[in-house]
Amino acid sequence: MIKTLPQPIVEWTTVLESSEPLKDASRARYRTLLKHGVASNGLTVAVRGKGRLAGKRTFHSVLAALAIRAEKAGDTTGAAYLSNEASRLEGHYAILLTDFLARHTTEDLPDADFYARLVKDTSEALRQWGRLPDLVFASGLLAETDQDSAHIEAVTRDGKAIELLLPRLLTEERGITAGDPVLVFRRFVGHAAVVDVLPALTVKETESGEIEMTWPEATESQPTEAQVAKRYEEGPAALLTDFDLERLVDAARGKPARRIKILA
Amino acid sequence: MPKTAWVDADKNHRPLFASFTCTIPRPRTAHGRTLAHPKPWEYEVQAYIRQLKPPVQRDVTLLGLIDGALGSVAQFVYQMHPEMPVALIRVAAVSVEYRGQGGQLADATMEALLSRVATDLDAHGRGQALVVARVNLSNTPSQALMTRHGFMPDGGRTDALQEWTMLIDW
Repeated sequence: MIKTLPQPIVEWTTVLESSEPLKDASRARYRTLLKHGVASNGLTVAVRGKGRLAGKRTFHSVLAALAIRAEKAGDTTGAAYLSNEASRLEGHYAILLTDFLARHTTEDLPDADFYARLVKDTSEALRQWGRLPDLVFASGLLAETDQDSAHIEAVTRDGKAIELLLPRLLTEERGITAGDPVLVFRRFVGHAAVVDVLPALTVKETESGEIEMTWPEATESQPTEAQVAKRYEEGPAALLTDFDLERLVDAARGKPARRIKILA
Repeated sequence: MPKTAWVDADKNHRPLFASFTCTIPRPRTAHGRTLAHPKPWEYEVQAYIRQLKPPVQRDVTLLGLIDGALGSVAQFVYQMHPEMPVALIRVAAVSVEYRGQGGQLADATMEALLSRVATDLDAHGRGQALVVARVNLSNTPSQALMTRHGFMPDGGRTDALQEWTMLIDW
């Protein structure tokens, strides 16, 4: 059976927005949430770019974001359980996550060696809790985006196929692109309905409840953007050697020249 | 084509590079794992531009700004040969927003680059230069662009790259 799970790691903004979806994320409100809410402590990572410190970012297990949503839905026991599990997983994977996220984004996490184990542990915690299907409004995938909207094709928890047109910014903020699985949440805040999404992944669940992580379509990890940039710099953008200069000038000698207009 | 302002990149433009997009995202499996890009040469260019940190003394990075947004990027470097200066085009790309419009912005970007080379070198008393670019053998839009502007496939060729050259004077 194919099962949709949330991506296991989220940024601090996702955790805060689970609590206050109508407000812009701010560090002050985030600190208050950590102090009084059910969120885990998270992992703060010093992000490096080209060998220099490029800032700090804080990540959480997605279970922390779900703990807040569970608490808002009235499941305080479940919220406490998820919060504990989030802290446990963050502690267990702290070194691996800190090392990986210092050099990559959360979108690159599926390429990490430990990713499959992290997904399995997150899935097991969700299985023990057992209330995720009650919290999620629908699960599906982002079919396509146009200038304004993200078209999501999903199935609701009671099995109804639906199509949602959400603002494109909502999926862009979460790093969700066409073809990516998503979980859709719907809740009341005051007298308004709030719809938001979490990036997801699909896994195969066996009859015994175990999940299988296989990568049938990809056998090798893809290089990161920084690695690709370096490869370009050393390839197509590499400076000409003295030998190349000599060769090119020699080959150009005597050829017709194109007249170019000088800028005023 | 919308009105384009041509400016040299400086420190203030760095945030524009970080989000510059000239191709589709890398596809992913249902598990979220990234797959190889269908046009790796486009993805390489985008990755390279996103990590640019101007100003770099050696490079000239020319930006095509449209209403303050980054429409196109072209970066070249002068390399000196005793006979004539050589301008090596390190990268040239157009934002996805302006692609698929008959290459109008790409053409304007190339003309702005060539004029810039001529103007710079004229100020140094030079009368001729060789312009060189490396283009992926599978990148047909760029090959068409080079052909439209008078470049010829020439010189070295590796498994994936072809050198294109053009002599210019002014």
